[in-house]
Amino acid sequence: MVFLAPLLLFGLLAALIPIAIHLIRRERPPKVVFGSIRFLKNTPKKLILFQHIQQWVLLLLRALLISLLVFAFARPLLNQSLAKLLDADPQSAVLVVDATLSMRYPGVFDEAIDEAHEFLQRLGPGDEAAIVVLDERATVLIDFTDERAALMRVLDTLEEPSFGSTNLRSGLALADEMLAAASFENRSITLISDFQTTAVDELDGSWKLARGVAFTPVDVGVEATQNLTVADVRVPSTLVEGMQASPVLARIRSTGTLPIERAQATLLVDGDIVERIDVELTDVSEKVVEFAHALTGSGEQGIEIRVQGDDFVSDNSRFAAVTIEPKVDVLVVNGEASSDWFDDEAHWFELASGGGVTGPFSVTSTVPNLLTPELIQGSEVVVLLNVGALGLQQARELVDFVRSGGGLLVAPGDQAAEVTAPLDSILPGSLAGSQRLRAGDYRVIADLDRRHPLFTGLPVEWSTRFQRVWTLTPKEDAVTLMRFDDATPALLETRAGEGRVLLTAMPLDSEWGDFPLQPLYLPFVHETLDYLAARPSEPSRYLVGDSGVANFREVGLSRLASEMQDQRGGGGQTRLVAINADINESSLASASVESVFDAIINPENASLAPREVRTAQRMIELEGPQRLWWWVLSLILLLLLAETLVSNRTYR
Amino acid sequence: MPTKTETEASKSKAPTEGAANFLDPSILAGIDNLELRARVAVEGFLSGLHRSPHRGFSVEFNDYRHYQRGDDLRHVDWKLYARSDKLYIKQYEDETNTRCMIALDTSASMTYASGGMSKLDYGISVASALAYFIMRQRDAVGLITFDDKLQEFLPARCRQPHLMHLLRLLTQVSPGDQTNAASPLSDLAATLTKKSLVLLISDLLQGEEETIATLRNLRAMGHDVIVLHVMDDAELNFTFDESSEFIDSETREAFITTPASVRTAYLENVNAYLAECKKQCQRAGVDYCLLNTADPIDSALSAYLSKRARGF
Repeated sequence: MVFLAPLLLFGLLAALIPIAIHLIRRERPPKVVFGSIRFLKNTPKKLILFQHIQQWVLLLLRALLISLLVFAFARPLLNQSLAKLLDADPQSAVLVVDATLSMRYPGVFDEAIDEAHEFLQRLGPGDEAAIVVLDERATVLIDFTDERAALMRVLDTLEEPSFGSTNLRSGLALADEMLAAASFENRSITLISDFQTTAVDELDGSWKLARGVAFTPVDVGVEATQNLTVADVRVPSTLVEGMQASPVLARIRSTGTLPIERAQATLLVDGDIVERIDVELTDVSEKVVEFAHALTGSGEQGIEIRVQGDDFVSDNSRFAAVTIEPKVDVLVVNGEASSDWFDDEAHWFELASGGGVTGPFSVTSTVPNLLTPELIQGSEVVVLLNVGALGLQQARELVDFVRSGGGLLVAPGDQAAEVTAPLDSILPGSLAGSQRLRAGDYRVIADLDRRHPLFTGLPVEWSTRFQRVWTLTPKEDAVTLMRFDDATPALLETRAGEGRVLLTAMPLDSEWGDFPLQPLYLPFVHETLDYLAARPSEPSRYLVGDSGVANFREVGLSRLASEMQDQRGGGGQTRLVAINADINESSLASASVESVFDAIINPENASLAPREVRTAQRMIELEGPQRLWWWVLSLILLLLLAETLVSNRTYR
Repeated sequence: MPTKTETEASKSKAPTEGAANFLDPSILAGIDNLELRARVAVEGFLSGLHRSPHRGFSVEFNDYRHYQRGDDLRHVDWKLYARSDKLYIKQYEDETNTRCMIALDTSASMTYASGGMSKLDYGISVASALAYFIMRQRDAVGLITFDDKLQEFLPARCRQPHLMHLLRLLTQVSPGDQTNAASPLSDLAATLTKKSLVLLISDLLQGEEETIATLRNLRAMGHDVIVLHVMDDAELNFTFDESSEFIDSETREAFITTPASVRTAYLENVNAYLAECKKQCQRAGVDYCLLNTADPIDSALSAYLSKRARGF
């Protein structure tokens, strides 16, 4: 026999109460001064003895009454096999602990750990459990085990939350996947989290837990919170020497449930404080501040914007990495140099590229005769403007330059009747002759590849008119980037080795058209040179948990191996990158756990109650057929009757 | 089937129901004035026997008293009125040939009362009523009170102030200790020079055999004896329910018992005792009358009247 409420058995001590009262009080019966007791003294003594026996019977009856009541309230279960079955209903449980940045809010994670300990304490003898930690990604802290001590030890290794962002689905999905291979059918997931609204909203209902998996949310979030965070930092990741520096912008935001009126934003460059700005947030929850400090110099610089004024400091800084690069070296080979600027082929091009003074390009002009290997190797981009046949050596140098990663733009003019043989091998097409249109007739750009990086920054509508253009015959591996309105190619591209080659059918001077006079000319030249220079533009900002390049676990500035350098065979080169936390982690508003239920609970689980409820139901089911209550109550009634009779006979 | 005690009680019912109302102990107990209590009892008793107890004054002058409204003018002493200018009524002492001695037991056991009136109060009421009644019969009446010895002694007289003296003595009775009726009755016997009627009012709970033996001696001396055996209703029927510690009122001896378990044995003992008392009295030629304090006191008067009618 087992008892479903064994603690009530302590009530058996109450059975001692009647005996204690009998022994303690032992009050004598009332005194009656009688005329004479001579007639009483002759009554048989056995009656008194019988009364004493009746008193003890009465005591026993009363003690038995109390004992039976206690016995009934302790809910005995007579069928031992069923009791064992009830006791031996082990479960497989996965405890998912949210250890993301928002859990760093003061007191929250400690409460989460306490809740986790309580969860482990509630595990039954045969239960198995696993622990999943949700930091920058969901990881299994310990797989299923029934050793509670081991679970406790592993749990104690969780010292503090990470800087990662909350992805409830990943943690729940991992737990669900683990439960699919669990030992017992009784399965459950317990999620201890602050249930940020931003994280809960991502559970859009498209994914559900497997059928039969019970879910228990434990909300440890704080209702009243104060928090300041740097929501964004706006500064170009790459700057060019000599260019006018952009201002550093930062967005300061109050994300707690309680407002904060004042804050202070600080700009740090390479760890040094360079500027402080007081921020008023009286009427708004977000404000953009602009730092006057100009980023100068060269190389990589680490930017940190720090905000002060709240207790939750883990999200008070946001970082950015800025690289100030040297100008792009451009070598312009002018095939038809002239002393008159309007006839000079390179005049317009140098004008558009900044002439090496104010723009991002450092332009060097030469003529074909002076084109030396040193000039070629010292450049990143070589532009052939109306250049005719080159020397064999010059052509070979150019081919080697391109194949090793250099850029080549070929804009033929009236001088370019033929192309030197070695150079022909890297060009995307061949010149099939030029066509001069009749007066009043012209060609326009009718189509271009908008998805190409060259055109993403350029407008779609082109109004340039060409009276004379080259007819290009593209090679098989060439890509036609632009076409004239007669469908003939206007711009071809090909890759030769590591380098890029562009061949245009339109001249870049004003001799065959009005292209240099159009507003598009300057951006076209800039984009073309940028594209051909092909400088590595690797991302400089990452979020904690971005595992594509490195496993960043903390916010701050870090160095990362440069892939571009590796590709070029440099090896060992690193670049400065900024690692920030997901801005959603700073939003401390909590969602209701009911919404989590609605989003993830399998609809077929509607009939499945939590384990405690199922256990209680099973208890009732097992208790019901016994009808022990009825028997005990009947016995109590009989005992009450007997007690009444005996007490009346004893004391009346 | 009625018990023996109930049968005795039914025999001692008042002659009429109307008279019984005036003889009810509960009514008499509410009357503090003992004379008034005796008068009410006797008048109530006699109203069921005679048309009127007043038959005129005797011829032997006894005393004066002030005239009261309603007095017969024939008894006004006009000579005295002429001298004093005040109206006086002449009172006369009747001749008697009967002497009655009332012996009242005042021992501690007589103080027991299960209801409103104790056995002693009941006995005092009976004694006062008998004295009043006897005086109305122009007989002499005396009184002794006793517990284990003689307490008060008032010789028999038939004059009116004597009745007041007797009633005052009854009023001042205080309960004594243990009972020993034999000695006081022997002392009484020594004082009785003429044939007398001795009325013993007692519960006879201590030494009843010696008491009855003494009464037998009185009978041998030519006196008539009536035993008015006063018992409380609880003593007769043991009407207790709750377990109690019963304490003997005289010996202070205690006995704890449950009434329900001993009632039968108790009643057997009591009835045997009563039967023995009655039997011994009859054997000694003593009239025996059992009085239940819950019953009217006319049984006592009836017993006396019955004896008086037989012309003892």
